[in-house]
Amino acid sequence: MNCRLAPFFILILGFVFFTGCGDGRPKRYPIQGVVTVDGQPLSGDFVGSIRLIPVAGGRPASAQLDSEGKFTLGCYDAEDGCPAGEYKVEVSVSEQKNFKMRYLVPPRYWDADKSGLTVTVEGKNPSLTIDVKWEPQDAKYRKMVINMNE
Amino acid sequence: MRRTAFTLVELLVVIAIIGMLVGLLLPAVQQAREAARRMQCSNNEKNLVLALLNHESANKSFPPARMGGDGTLPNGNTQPGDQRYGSSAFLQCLPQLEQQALYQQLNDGKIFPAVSDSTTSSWTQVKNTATPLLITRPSVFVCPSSTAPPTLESNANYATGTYACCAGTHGPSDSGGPISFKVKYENDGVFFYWRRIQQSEIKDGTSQTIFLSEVTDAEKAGSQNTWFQGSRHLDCFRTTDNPLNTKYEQGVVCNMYGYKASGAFASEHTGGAFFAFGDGHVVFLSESIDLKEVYRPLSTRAGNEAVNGEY
Repeated sequence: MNCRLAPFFILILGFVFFTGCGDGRPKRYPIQGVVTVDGQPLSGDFVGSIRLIPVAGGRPASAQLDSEGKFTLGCYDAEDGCPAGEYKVEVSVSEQKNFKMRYLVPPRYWDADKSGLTVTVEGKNPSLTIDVKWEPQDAKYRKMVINMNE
Repeated sequence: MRRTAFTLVELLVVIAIIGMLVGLLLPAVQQAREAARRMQCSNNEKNLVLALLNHESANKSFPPARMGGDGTLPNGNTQPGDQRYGSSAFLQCLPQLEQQALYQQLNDGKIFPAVSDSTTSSWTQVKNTATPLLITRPSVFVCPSSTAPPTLESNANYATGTYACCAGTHGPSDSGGPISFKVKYENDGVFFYWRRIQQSEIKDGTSQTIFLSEVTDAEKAGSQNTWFQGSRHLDCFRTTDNPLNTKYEQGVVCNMYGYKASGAFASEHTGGAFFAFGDGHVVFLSESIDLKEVYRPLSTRAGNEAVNGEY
């Protein structure tokens, strides 16, 4: 066989093998971060998560917080990253034991429309730090124990 | 010289060509088979939503996703413990799905009281007669593409199903807590605990209100989906809190019972899931659908949102 044609064959073979790869979804950038409350890291036994709602519309990215409040965002799959764009952020952290719940983050942060938190993902972010604050208006939630009725 | 046989090279060339042709054909065949399964799945959803609508015609209200409560009821209503049945909306619709015999044998659709009552023994009666029947899996409850085993991991006598009713937007991230009153009794969709929604309460219009869709991993504790029981974030009770196709352990989860449950709809058809709406139409929604402006508004019964027609 004519050896000068070999590179072309390899090119065509490579094309055949790799066409159709890529998931047809927007490019996602690996984003990590940490949630702090009044500047202090979270600790203890809690259930927490963070969700980024795109301002321009689309699919949100989210993550569960580990025992130190750290997270790695995922959009379509766990920890697959977050597309670039502007986001409104919601953070929910609570202690849930024996069907009783206590807020560790004020409930206004649980809803992206009320939290006032925003981030911009550009693909070259250093890790995010999301700090939430207990303001005087949140005082009544601090000691509140919600009975979950089960 | 006359040859009487193929040479080795000729044979190899022919095999290679046949191999290539088969390689081209196989994906097309698999795609055609998946297309047929998708059609069957969409048809199942259509039958289920028609059954819910026929139930409404017969009873003047839609069946709740879970027939009874499982604790205190809202607004001071009460219910004896042995009448807090866990029956799903689909179980209550069996007569409308031409499964009258199964319905009657399952205590006329009244199974799983949340609190057993030894004096009336209704639980015992149901348990003795119903258990062998709860392994039945009518085909209308199963998508042909589903890879879930026919029974739960935790109970080999309980059959799984693919479809779940939509309770609304209040799910695991609700600020009142993942199993709060709002999630169970005051959700903003059509199917949740105890309350029977009437047609007139669906103010967004039935063509703009999601009734049911698909779930995956129906055998796992965090995504348990039997067709006959209703329970929050699990069986026949899902919400649009998390985006479509969020795996059951991901997103914002309810983590009260030793397993994580996102309560999201999910499908094994690539890129989205079939959704049945209250007017009986079934569409395939993309998993890239906008959460706040389209997906959640479509799941509310009276959110008063104007949803753009293209989604």
